[in-house]
Amino acid sequence: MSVRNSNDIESPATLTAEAKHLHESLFARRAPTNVIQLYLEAHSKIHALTSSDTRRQLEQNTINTIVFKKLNATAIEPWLRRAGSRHLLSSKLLLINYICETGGNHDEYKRDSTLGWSSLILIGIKASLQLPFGLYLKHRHDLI
Amino acid sequence: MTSFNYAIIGSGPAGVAAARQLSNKGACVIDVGQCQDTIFEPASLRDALSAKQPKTILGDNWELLSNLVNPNTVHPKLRSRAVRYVMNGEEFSVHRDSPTTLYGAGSHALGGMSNAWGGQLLRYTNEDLKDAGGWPITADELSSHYQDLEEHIGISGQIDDMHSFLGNSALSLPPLKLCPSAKYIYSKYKLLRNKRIKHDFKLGHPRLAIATEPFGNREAYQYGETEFLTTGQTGLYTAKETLIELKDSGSIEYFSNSKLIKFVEHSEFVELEILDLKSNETRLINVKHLLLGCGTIQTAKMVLTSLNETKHRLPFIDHPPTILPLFIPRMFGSQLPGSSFPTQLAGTLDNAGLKNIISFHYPGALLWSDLLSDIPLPMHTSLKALKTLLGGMLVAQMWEASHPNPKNYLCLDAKGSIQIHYPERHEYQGIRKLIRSLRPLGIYTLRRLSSMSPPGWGFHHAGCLPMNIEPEKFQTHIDGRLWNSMRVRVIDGSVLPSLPSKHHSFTVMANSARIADSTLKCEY
Repeated sequence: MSVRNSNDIESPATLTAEAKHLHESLFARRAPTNVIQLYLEAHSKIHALTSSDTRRQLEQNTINTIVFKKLNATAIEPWLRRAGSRHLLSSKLLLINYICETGGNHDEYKRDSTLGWSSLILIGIKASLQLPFGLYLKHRHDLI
Repeated sequence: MTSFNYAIIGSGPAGVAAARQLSNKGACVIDVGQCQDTIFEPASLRDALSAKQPKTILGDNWELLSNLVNPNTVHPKLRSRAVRYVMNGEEFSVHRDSPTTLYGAGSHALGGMSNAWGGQLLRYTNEDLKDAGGWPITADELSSHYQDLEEHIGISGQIDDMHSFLGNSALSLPPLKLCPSAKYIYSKYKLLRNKRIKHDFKLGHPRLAIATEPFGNREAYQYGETEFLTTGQTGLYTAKETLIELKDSGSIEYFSNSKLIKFVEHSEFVELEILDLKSNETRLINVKHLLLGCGTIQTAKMVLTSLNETKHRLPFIDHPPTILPLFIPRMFGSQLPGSSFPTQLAGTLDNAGLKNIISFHYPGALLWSDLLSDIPLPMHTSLKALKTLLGGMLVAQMWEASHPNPKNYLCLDAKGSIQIHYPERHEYQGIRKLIRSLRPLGIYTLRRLSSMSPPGWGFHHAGCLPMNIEPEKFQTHIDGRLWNSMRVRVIDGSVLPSLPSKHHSFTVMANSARIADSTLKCEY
């Protein structure tokens, strides 16, 4: 079985798989149905997500590989970030974030609760492990 | 044919300041006058988030995410559907260095760009004008107009260490409520000062056009954190309010849905060709004096078009701010306020020779998703970090003086569209000094986190038709008249010859009032 290529990106099945994997990568749980529906709708309205230029197609192939091989998208994404125009993976992860934040159902965005210093230390330790792992995955799978 | 003594084009800050001076004197304001076409109903950002209706914030056509892939192409303040009408005007593009391009549009909104402003109304001082250079007038000549406008608008603030730096404004309202992190650093600043510990920083409350308590007909500001989602917040002054007052009292005539196509100056009058946007018919209006206040970019185009000089390049000045996130570790993990205004404090390092204003903002009105890609961590980790960091975070915005540069110019392309070329922009030189000076206040940050906004980002445009004592071609007289004109004046940012390192909106208003005043006094 091979990784889907970028010609398949318009298909709802591909986008659904993408939404599920990216949501799970961000929040470690299954994506609610309304998040998937909104993710699909966004792709029909935000044309920059589906434009046909070569760079975007290469980036879509990267996303297809991440989804197909179930790689840790959030660990890889910081290594694909760049100034100016965003990498498609960054844009799509942000899209999931925007949908979940404005949907009001994700506790991760609740503004009436905060975390203390100890959490920050744990976050730092976790990030220091995840970032090298993301870099390893990027090189291991030739993600661009 | 209709005729008036004075016609003012545009209802933004410049147009309205002139309209006040010319009220009851046979003046009309001609304007497209676009109003908000989408109502954002929630009273606060938190109400909007808890309503669990994503499209309320994102927009029916996902407008809020229009810069999802290309973050620098739409200003964050203009993404929301309910704010977009502010920039629904004639388009322009800003070319910095290829391929970076910012697309913008002049405002056709009733009240112009004041609908999207942050409300910081700051006086320029004589020192500001001297340092920026090229000004043929002094701040003293603007002083009475500053004061008159301050009394009309109502400025919130406090007589504090920033008072003289901010031009000794006439304050009629108490300062804005501070968020906990701003309150902490301000109390720390006052402690340092009281102990007479040497420091480079001056800190104080900003001067804002915000009714912190009921003022005249205005109700008090509600701190809803909706500044990025809608316009017309109760208590936040915009030029629209004054225009409506003048129109309703019959002191001026107001023509909405009207666009000036071109003007022709005759010895006794100026003939205006006006397009009625509803009927699509043109009509002629004769006026004794024409005051152009369409906004720097649009006025420049109007002058080039009307004088058939479409191939000429005009100087163009902007001062997009430099942005630096600040961290106050003592406040990490503290409760988020839930009700705040973006601008919290104003500061300067002028004790250390850096005379620019530094505004301190609290990012409570932004969605957290807006901040994730700026944190160099995996997004789900950044999200958790924000829960700790936000209570102890502020964002500093540094505005620098800006001068004409031959490489930066405005021109029209073959189709008559406005093109702005802005390849040269100086980096803010004071970052290191700023970071060092903030440490005694318990503020820490890294130089590499700073970012320069692209040209066009700060909406502070000026200098296309600079005023001069003896104006050359494409310059203006001190009384606003075009170099070759007796009856056509420019009243907006176009005439400012350079930009001091402070927000220019209030000076645009005061200078416009000054020019309108001199128009009244002219004997023809």
